[in-house]
Amino acid sequence: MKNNPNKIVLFIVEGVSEEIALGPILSKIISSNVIKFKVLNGDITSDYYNVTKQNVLSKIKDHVKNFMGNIFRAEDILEIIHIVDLDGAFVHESKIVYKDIDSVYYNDTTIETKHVYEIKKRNAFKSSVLNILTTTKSIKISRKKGGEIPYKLFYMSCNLDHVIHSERNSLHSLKKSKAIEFADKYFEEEIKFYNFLRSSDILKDENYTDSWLYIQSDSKSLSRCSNLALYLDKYF
Amino acid sequence: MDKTIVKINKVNVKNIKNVKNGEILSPFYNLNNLEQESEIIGIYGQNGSGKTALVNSLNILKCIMGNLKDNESFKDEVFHLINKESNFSWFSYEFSLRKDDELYEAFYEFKIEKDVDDIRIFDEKLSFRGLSPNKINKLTIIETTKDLDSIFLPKTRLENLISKKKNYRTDLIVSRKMAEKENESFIFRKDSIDVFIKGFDNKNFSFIIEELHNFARMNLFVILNDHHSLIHVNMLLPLSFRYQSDEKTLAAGDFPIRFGKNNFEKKEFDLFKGIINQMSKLIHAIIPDMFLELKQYGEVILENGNTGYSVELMSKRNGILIPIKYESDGIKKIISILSSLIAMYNNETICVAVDELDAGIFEYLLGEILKVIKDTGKGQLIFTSHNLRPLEVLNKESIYFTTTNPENRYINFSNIKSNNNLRDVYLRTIDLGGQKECVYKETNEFDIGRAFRMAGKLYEKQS
Repeated sequence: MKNNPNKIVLFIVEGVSEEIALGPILSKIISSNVIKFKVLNGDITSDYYNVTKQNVLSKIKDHVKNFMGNIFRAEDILEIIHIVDLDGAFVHESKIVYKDIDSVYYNDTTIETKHVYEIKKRNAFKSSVLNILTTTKSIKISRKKGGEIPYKLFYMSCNLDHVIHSERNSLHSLKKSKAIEFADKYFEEEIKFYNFLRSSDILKDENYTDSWLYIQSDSKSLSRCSNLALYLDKYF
Repeated sequence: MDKTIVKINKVNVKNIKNVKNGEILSPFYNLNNLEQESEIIGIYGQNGSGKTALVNSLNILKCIMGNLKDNESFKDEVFHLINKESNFSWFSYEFSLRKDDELYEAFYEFKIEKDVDDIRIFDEKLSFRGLSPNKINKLTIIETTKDLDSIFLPKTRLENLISKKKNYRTDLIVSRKMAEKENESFIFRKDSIDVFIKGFDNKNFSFIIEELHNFARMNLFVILNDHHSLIHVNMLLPLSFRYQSDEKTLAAGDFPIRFGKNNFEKKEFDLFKGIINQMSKLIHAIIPDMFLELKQYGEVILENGNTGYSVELMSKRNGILIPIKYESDGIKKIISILSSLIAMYNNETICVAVDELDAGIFEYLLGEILKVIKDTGKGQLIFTSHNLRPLEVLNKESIYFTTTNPENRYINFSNIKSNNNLRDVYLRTIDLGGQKECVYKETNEFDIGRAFRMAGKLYEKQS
């Protein structure tokens, strides 16, 4: 008999690919709680049209409230784990170079685009927002008891596809099938998955703050790495 | 004298399907409120969690207490209902009976066991107590054991009957043996009832027996979804009516309508026509372009020698008349449910149990219908549903949820605040728990996608 309700670990992610790739394995690892995804269908940290440094936390609050609907309460959510793609946000301006292509192309050390100005603006905005979010400890949903939910930001560099199958510039049409492939590869392989994220290829620093400092240097925010393993440590 | 109003207060079953023990109470249980509103009980839960078992148990009650033996599938149905791990199922029901200012509670229980490929009803027990105007302590009227020779207990009752007329003893022995042979209730066999009514000194006994028997036969409607159901409700449209004559309300009448030709007396025919006209409006609201009509086949001579009318219920769509019997099962079901709901709405002694009330009814309309029944209806409605809209309309006492615990299959939610939306609370509880029992056997949403893919791979291999 259970009288105490379970708690939710809420993952905030950019797209459905993250949910497809990570949902099954994370639900096995975090089996003591219920995991849920809030898919933003976009990158809140680069949306400089709608988001400002001042209101980004309130925007995240809105997304959490939208997830909760009328069904869940703030105290149902144990913690919010926000996963972002870095997209080379911390590279030096000089690394953003003009090329006459329709999309943005990520290389080892440069970003190619025909919208250099916009990407520079985006990077400036994104890096400043990331700096806010990495030091954010909680999101205040309401003034009631239990209305403040612990929050932590983790990164995929330079994006999810790069981490899970070493492809920085994945075709949009392939993102889903690659995510499924990854999910099936690690099906019921929690330890294998954890070891993968913990491998020296992916995890570059044992310390959360240092892991964020690491990717801010040089063109590291274009390199393949993720600090998500640091979140998973407590389950292993 | 007014008619007697019988209501089901409580159902408790053990060992049927996957229900080791399950109990539901009327929302007015223990209130003994003389001015009761319509009583609605909705049962919710995931697939295969024991919702239908409750409706099954009401169907069994109808067949056993109503002594409806003319259905072949009864035995088959009951045989499969008995929990695989147990030898017998146990059924217990509580009723309230109200007549003018008299109020009684009756208790009926029995067991059914498997006997090779047969079933046997045993350990029947009928008791009652008086609540008003006179308090009568709970008293066993009749109790049977497996010992056929004892006929029934308590001995004093048996002796009371036999002292009236020697033949009664023989009649009761025969009835007991026939009940055994035919898988029937001994208490509610017609031959037994005849003796009880004529013989018992205590008129309360015969009153309880007769009223419960009539309730099961006439006023309890069970609409099951499977085609093996005991009563082919699909063949019948239970219709109930009450009509005004000057300032006095006359007793209501109930009569079954066949999907086919029906013969009616003039008075019945006029009523039927009126009811069909009313129902036609309801049907039209659910199935656009469809109306109900009566096709008249002219005058016939009835069994009693009177002149009557032969009519058949038809559906009319875009001007074309089709006998109802050729309509789809879905439409027949809607008509069956609606007509019994109308009966229940208007008549407080009618109890309708519907499995999958939401099947084939548009969500919005389902909510509206239930709200109307709750606010102004008179009878009892017990239903199962997957559609969660009713949770937003009905009171929390009216809603039972199946649990994952076979020993306590049905629960009401506790700690529901008046401003809580029960539907939202249910969805939250499915995910997070928090009630005294778990209401959902966990399904991992992330595993469902993988299962689809794996099934697809198997399919590719085979084809």
